[in-house]
Amino acid sequence: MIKKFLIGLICLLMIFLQGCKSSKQIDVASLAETVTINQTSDGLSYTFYIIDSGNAKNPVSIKANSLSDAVQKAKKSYIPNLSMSKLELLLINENAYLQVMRSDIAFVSSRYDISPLLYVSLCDDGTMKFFSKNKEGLKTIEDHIMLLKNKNDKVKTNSLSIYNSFAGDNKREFYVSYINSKNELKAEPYSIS
Amino acid sequence: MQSKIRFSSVRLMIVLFISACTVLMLYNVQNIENSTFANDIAGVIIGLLICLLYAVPSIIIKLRTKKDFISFAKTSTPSAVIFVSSYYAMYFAYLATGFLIRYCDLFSKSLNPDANKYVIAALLLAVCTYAAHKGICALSRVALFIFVFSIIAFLIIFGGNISNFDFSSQNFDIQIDYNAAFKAVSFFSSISFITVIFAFNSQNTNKFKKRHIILAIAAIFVLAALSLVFIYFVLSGYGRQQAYQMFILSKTSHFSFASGMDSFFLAAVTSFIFILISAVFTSVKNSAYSKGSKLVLNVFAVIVFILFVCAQRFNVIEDILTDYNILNVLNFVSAVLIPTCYMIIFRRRLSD
Repeated sequence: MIKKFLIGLICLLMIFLQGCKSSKQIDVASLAETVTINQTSDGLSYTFYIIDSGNAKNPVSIKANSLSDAVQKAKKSYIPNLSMSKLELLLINENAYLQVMRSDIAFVSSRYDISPLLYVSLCDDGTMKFFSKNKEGLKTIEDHIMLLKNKNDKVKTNSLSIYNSFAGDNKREFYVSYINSKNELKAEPYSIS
Repeated sequence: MQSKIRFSSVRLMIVLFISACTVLMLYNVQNIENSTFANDIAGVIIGLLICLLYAVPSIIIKLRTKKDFISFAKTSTPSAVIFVSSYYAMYFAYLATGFLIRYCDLFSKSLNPDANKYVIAALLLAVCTYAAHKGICALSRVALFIFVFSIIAFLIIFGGNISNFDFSSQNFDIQIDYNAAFKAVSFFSSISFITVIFAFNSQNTNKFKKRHIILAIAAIFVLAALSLVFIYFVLSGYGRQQAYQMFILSKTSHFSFASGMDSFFLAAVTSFIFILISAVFTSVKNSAYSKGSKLVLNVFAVIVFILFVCAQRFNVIEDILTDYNILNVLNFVSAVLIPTCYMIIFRRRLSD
């Protein structure tokens, strides 16, 4: 009798006290799959592209100084159930990368919920426009990054390898992916020194 | 009565192997700032030798008397064994709480930050207490299944990272920094707590041979070296800033488009911690006289929980309980000093 009571008690504890009550449910969570970083006339703009059931784009733009700041502001005011666990791509405008790339890569690397294999790429204004309008933008850009990686294995395409390149010898030059929209969308190596 | 059943010593070795795997899963193998690959590999090799040396006293007692150390102590000094048992209870409380803290921290950081750590700890301790009541024989049977699962989990974690090897970010400097190498040795030799678990649970094993424990310890250190290779050449500097490198390694593991094998890691680490804490509890149960062992075990579980609560409240207690340098000192006293004293004082009983 005591054993059954104890087993019952443990089961109840598991149901009520495991923190699941306050956890984000998949149907309520706002899963960001891409974050783009743009340099605008009034500062940096972080745009979160949230997955929705209709597979349509649902961007939320936030003015912030860094990704960390943008995530905080988003959770506080715009996207309370924001989850970064499905983040696949961090797209940085070439005009903004000098300001944010190192610190934002350090931020995503410190988060347990963000995969170290998150794609990171620089791009031009045309690509940003293409991405905001095209439903298949993420897949197209990922395909280009993978093609570039297969052609040139020296190009650093994910947050893990870019973090390591920044953390290594500072004077050493390395290459990241750059999506160019001139003529047609194309990924090419971009030197960072 | 379960614990009186004799079982193969290979099964006990599997329990020890899984217990030691918990260190690789919950602590960072590349844990020293500015340490190089050569330093850490030197740490693995010397740690292996230290661990083998620590196992010598309990192996001699087992081979000569067919008993484990604590049974030998009970028959040699029946009136003084309470002091020895009290010391070992303190040692096991330190060991169990240290790993419990790391596990609950990993659980809340990686899986559910809103989870109540106290509930996780209480549930885990309740399950481990139940397993310890069943005895080491039943536990070793469960360990067989967990061992198979651990092989699958390690194959997935390591196999999925082969394509991520990046040798360009590492310098192959073979200069040994003695300070860093000493710290690496200190970390890897902390695995020698498994020799104390062996010293408390080998009474009912049969067909024991020296090579069993040597192979179990060697397998652990091969796995440690393998973990180092992957952490250095896949995670590199990224791994240094992480609290749980093996967890990150499981996140980077991928097979074609299937990526993120962290669920395998979490399942493996949960089953490993269950085996480790249950084996520690079984050791405590074995150190008590059989008449009151159930009560002793229940009281011990409550003490571990209280220590865990204190560690959550006061950072200094947490730092002490998770410090592997203190664990090393306790390992030396528990695995070498006390058993050797017994061997010297009661050498005639050993030769009988």
